[in-house]
Amino acid sequence: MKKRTGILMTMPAIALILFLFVYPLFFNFYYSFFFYNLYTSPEPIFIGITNYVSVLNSSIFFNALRNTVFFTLASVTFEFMLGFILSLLLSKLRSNIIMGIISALCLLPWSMSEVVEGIIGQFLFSPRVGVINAITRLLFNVEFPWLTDSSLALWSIIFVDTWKLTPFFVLIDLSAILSIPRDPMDAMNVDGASQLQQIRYLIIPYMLPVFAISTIIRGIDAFTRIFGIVYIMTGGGPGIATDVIPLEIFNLGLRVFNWGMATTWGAITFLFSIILLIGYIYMNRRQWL
Amino acid sequence: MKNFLNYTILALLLFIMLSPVVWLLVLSIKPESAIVSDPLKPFNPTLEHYLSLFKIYKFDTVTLTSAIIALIVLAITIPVSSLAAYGLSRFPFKGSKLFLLLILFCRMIVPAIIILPMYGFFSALGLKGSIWPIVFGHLSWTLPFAILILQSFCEEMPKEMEEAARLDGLSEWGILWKIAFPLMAPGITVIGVVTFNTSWNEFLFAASFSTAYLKTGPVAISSMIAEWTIAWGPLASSGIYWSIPIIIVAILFNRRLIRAFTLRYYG
Repeated sequence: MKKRTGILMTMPAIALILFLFVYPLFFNFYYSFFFYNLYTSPEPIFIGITNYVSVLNSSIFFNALRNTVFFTLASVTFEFMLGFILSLLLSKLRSNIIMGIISALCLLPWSMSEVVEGIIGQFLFSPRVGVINAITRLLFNVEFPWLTDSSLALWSIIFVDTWKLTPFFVLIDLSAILSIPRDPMDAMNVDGASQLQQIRYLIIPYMLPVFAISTIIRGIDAFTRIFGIVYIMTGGGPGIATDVIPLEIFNLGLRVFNWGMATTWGAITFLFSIILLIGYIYMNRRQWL
Repeated sequence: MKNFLNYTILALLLFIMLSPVVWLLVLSIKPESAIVSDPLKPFNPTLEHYLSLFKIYKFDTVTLTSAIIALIVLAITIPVSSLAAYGLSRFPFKGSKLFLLLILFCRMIVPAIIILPMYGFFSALGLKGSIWPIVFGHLSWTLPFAILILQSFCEEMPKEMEEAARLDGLSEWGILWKIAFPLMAPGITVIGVVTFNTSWNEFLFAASFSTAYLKTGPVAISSMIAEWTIAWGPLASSGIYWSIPIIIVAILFNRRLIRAFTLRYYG
């Protein structure tokens, strides 16, 4: 009886999850073995692992992978460090009103659409209306091709993303810092420990689990969900300099309609997700195993 | 002195955090010619860009479309996730842990790989160009997140009241309706807010499944950036306009949202 109730309550969720995730996985693996281009051949033709061979031999794939990984590592590192420093400073304020206002302000960029984030990127970096170029023009009489130079474009995207998601770390870190017991902190003050020593020997050790979980969550999201900001700011360009995996799957599937290739990319990125999951379970092994 | 330094760094960082939004706001009330000529010159404020959103870019239809999609996503996510979360935490069955693991895994999948299967499925049903592929795309973001959060919320909920009601002879569904759901209300509120935000802001699925007649806000905004010309003024005003509901929600629920950050978010 009791067991049936549980299954009954979970049934709608199970059905939706099967439809939303398990069916797509089979779809991706199935069509990855076919030549299937909606423009040239409406009927899929079985070609074995040819798609995999050509993806793994293409520089486009490894370029997109490198960009995605680089974006993830760089943006999460900046967001994490800035977030920690900011929340350390904020925790010193000891004024609930100021802290409340700042927390509310932190929710602002975090909850805005990635498209609005991309627009803001345009208004900061674009050559004609961008405020950053306007300032450098005024001060040094130089302009930078932020979005059209292949080495600068990805950094511009990372900058905007750092702006948007540092508040995520501030909110998490701040609530963790404020929950540190006061007694050891006071004891360290009495013993004459400096602020840096307090951070090094008390706050950081206490925060390690929070650091781990927040960077992993943010890292997974950055890796799997980067799309809108690149689409709006550079469209993957110049050339393929800021091409990332989700954007390329989108283009392969819905711009050139090469579904065989798009599903092969999908199947390969699925393997990355398995690696992520294994790593995550290993880190939380006490809870899951 | 040390305090002064702290405040200065803090003020500087806050300035960096806020200035892009302020800049967007300034541009949205600036005449188009002034935007392009010199971004830093003074100007006469105007509301023309906000009016053109509705006159030229059909933001009335767009807003309605997005609102309908967000409401349907909410109407599916909340009952399904709260039922599942309660069931999983109170009546674990064989494979319930495996199911939770599967949901966790769903959060780690690249969402772009869901586009083509959904496209194929809804084309076969003849629903291509309807809101349904977008709705299900959004559900793939909101549902795993909602179940995970509400499940950990349920785990921390006291069981005594449910047990007392069980002794009094209330049925399991009665307990769920009269006792568990009211206790879960704060968690469900947070889920509701995050779900609304996600659907309102989502771009990947909206861009994949939109047509010339069916556009959500983010897609309408992105279509202002054409290959050769960008309508800068309307672009800025649309960014502000689209963020207004989100800002209101963030102000209304900021305490609950921030508290939710302290919950164990992901299992």
